[in-house]
Amino acid sequence: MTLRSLVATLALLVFAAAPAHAAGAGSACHLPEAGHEGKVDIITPHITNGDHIEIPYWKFPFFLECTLPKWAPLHVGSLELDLSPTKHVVMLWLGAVLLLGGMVLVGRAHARAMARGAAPRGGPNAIEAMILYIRNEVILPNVGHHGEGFVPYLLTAFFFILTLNLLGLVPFGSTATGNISVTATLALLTFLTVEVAGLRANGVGYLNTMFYWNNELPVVMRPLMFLIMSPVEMIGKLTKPFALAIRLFANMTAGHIVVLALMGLIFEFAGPASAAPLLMSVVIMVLELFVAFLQAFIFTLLSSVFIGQIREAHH
Amino acid sequence: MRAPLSALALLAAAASPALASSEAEAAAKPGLLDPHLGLMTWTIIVFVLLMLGLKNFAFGPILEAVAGRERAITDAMAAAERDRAEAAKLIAEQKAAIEAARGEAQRYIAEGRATAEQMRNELLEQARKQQAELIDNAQKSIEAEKAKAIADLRREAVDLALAGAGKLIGQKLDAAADRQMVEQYLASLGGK
Amino acid sequence: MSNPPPPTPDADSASFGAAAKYAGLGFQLVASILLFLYLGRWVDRRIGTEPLFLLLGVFTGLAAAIYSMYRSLMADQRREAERRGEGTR
Repeated sequence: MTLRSLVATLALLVFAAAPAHAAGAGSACHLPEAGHEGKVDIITPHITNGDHIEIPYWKFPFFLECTLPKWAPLHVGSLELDLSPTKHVVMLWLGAVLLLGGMVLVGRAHARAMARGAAPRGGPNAIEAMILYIRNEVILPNVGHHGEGFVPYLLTAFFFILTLNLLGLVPFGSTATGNISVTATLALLTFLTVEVAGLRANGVGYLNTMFYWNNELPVVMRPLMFLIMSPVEMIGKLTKPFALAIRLFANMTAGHIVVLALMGLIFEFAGPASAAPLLMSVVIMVLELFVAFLQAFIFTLLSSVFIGQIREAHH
Repeated sequence: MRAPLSALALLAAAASPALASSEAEAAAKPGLLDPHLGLMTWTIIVFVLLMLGLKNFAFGPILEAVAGRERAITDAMAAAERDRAEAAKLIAEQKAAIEAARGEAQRYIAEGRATAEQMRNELLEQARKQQAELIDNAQKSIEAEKAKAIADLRREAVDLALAGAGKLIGQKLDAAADRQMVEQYLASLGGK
Repeated sequence: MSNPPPPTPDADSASFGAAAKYAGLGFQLVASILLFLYLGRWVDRRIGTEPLFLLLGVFTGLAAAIYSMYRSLMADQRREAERRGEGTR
């Protein structure tokens, strides 16, 4: 029970602390300014990062704009690192807290059920089924022998991306995975995991995954092929995480643009005709729900495949 | 590397109409493809903390619980298998014991029957033998008595005949020579 | 996590993964062509042979990328065969 209240408090903190803190830092929540002239771009602010978030409000138009605090940037060497919370940073926090809280509750349900000597029921059982499916059918067969060490990373990637994707579909939410910086960083983590796995599995043989030196070729051809093929091998290494980042980012962004455009059309038509975009936006929203799961799954699957590929590279 | 990559990124994003419209005001607003170092740092921090938290407080206990449950099931199955094997073994033993007992009984019965048969046969044989002996003895003694009686009769007859004949002819016949003659005569009679 | 249940390798999901790993090959093709294209252009500008090395670069990049794809395809096939051999053993 104490844990449950702790999680609730943390979740509340993320929601409430942002405006409260913002007030202290000289910025505050306020009603959105009304009376824009002409057409306004509603899509770009929705899908891009920003320095304010929207929170539910009980009076029309039912949301407040909260400006997030601006912190003084850190200087790391010549690099200027601005760690001020932005919309997507808040979404990362929120997603992590919700996921961790929910998962800890599931873990406790399992501990209680195990004490009873039975399987948990309902939600915890469904989460367990997901974890087991991802672990036993996606991660372990693709990562290869002794792949236990990669399970925490890949499971975390799956559930974190899934949570962030779903948070983008919730009202007042925003899709952190629709931000290229977030997906690129996640892909970078996969890239590092893959390379470290390759280094550990292959030792010196790891160099073969970067450089091309074929002893079956004539002596003259060897350096030439080395010079041509080595860059291609390295590009192959880099394009894998690049494709991961672009795929996740593009899928999440494209779906939101379509939904937002259809929602715009609802107001543009402003009559019985708006039923069509309304219906379509509902359909696309359901599709988005599926895509949220699918893209988290694909990211995890491909990361597992890449890890498995480089670990077996010495063959 | 940077040039082709950014070219690719542009290519991928050019398809979205939103970018086209946002590019005009990209100077002030954050673009769709702008890398944001702070956000990237936050992603790494949040992800790593989340992974540690999940590993220690969620995935670990959950997978352990699943493993424990699976172990319990495996154990229960192994125990059931063991129990079944034991029961089967006991039944087999029982059956073997019953079979053995039945065989023993059969053997005893057969043995008893054989002994009885043998005894009967022996007794019968003995009785038969005794009977035969008795009959034999009786016949022998009858035969002997008969022979004796015949001899006696014959001697008496001879004596009678001799005495009769002596009286008849008045003289005493020589016992030996006449006896022989009478006996020859009697023998010829007996021969008939 | 100390004593996890044994994994149950599934042929379907494994082949799905094998197919999915080629999803990023297009990027590799484009990237290697562009790399050699820019390299060729740089060389052209240095020694004034435009557009010889640029064209040469395009074809080199294309050939190299295709050869690299072929190699990874062959390696995957060999691994798959090995895995199947292990499975039947």
